Amino acid sequence: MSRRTRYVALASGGVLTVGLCSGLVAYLNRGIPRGVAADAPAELAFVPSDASAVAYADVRAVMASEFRERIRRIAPDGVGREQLERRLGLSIERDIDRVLVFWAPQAGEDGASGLALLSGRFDAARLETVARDGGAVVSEEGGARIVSIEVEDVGSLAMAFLQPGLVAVGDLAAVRSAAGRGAGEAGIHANEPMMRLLGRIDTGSTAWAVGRLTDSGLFGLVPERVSARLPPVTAFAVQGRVNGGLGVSLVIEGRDDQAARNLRDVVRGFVALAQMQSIGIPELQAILDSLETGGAGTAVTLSFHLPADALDFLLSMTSSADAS
Amino acid sequence: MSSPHGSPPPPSTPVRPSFAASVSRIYNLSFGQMLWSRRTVFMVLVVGGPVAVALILRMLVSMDLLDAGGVIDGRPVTIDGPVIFGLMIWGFYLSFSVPLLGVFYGTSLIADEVEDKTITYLFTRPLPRGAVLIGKYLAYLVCAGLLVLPSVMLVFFVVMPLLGGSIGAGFPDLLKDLALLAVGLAVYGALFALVGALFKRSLLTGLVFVFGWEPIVVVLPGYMKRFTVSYYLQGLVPHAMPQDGTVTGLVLQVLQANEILPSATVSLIGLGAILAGGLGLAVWLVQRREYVLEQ
Repeated sequence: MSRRTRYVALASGGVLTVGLCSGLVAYLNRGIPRGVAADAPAELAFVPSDASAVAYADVRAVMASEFRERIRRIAPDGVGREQLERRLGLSIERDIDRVLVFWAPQAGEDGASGLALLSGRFDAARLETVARDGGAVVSEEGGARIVSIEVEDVGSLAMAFLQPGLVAVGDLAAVRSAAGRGAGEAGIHANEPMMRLLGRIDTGSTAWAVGRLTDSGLFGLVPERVSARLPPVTAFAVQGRVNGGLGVSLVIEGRDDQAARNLRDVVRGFVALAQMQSIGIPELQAILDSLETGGAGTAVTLSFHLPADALDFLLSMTSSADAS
Repeated sequence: MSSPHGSPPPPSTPVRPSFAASVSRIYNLSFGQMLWSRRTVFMVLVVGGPVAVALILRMLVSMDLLDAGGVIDGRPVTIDGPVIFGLMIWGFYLSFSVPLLGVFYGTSLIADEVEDKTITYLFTRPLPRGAVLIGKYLAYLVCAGLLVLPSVMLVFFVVMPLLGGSIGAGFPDLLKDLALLAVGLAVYGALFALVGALFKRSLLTGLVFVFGWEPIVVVLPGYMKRFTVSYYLQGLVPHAMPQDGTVTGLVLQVLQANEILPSATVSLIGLGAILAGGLGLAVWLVQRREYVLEQ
């Protein structure tokens, strides 16, 4: 074999070898967290490993967005916001940066309870005083002050100042659990299916939610006999990005490939139906044209983008419906 | 020093090398010749085409001129890297490059030696005639593999990450595709080695088979499609292509139920039979045929 033949063989074999090795490395590393799973908000540390759903919103980004401005033009803020500011000294626009909500089963209780974690700037003393005036009691758990109150038909509601600038609001048991959460305790990061779902969320999404629909129903909130009638969905991940318009992306995971195929067909059927209905309404057609469906394996994906004009159209439709 | 009166030494008996050693010698001799032949330059252009197409696609995507969404028959479809890669494997490689490589190299294994009137030199060596064919066939396999497989590898890395595709997730499909292409090269090569040993105008016969017989018969109803290589390769393609269950799974079930596509097992048995039968018959023919060179 001549030298140049050997060089050609080596170069060709080299491309193959390098390609196979790189592909293998990529294949082995495909499970490494991406997106929000890799760059998670700090509040995620308070989410327990058995949480069945987590939702997040970058309140500051939403409030500062043109999207919010358009909504405000059509639906001006009501008196609720003023009352909140007058009584608690709390302005949603000014004082709250982020909100993270999760649902998790509580020990010894049926179903799941939710907890909201609010990040921002809070006047803790004023909030506590207002709560005390309303009949709330204050206790301590894990170094955090917990303000709780019994509400008829609802149960014990509580609020705790977990860290400077971080308030937990929700069911008393859930608040206590979050307050007593040790640094070494296994959190959501130990929950591989949830982290995989979080990996589907792009970093920089303004709002997102992921959840697993367990055998006990939709996060335990929906009765089993109702969830049994729903399509066989096991998990979802939805994310939105707000700017002038609104971009939304949804991933649904079917129980198996067959279920996902059925779901894809259902989604495409609905999209086709909506496209038929939108004939003659260009604003609606613009939205439906941006709809993209797809997915492979057990995943079904749906994404769309609402341009600013389409958003105005939808908001005007909503406001005219409210007026009538 | 031998005595001038002594008997002359007996002529040395040529040592006949083993079959494997003969194959190895012919392989070493043929590989370089094959790699630097004019047809290799042509085949480099053929397998370079998909790489160029992949680069153009990548450029279009990076310039936002190509969108993942589209509409086929009024139905919205999403085209991503894995789908494009699967289509390229079938359209560029399995349907075109692999059969063409098989025809060009396979038919020339013996025919070139006959045409160049050099077959005498090979057949007068103390080598089994079958080893000559097998050695050349192996040289063809390696030469064709070195042309096609790196091209596929480059296309994979350029195309797979496009429009939301993932190299890691698509890697198992790449392995299946590489295996499928290797099988295709082996089977087409064996078949056309037989054609080259059997027919005088073997290149023309091969081209008619690949671009005339196969495309027509495969779409015709009936059993004739079983006498093509592409029928059995098609049976393996959906198993190797990236799975979008909606299309591939359902279509595959329908096609297999109606015997339009064979199952993976039938495909493998069919391809194995063509490979073994083609190569075996070619060896048998070469061993028995008397090649009369035109003056």
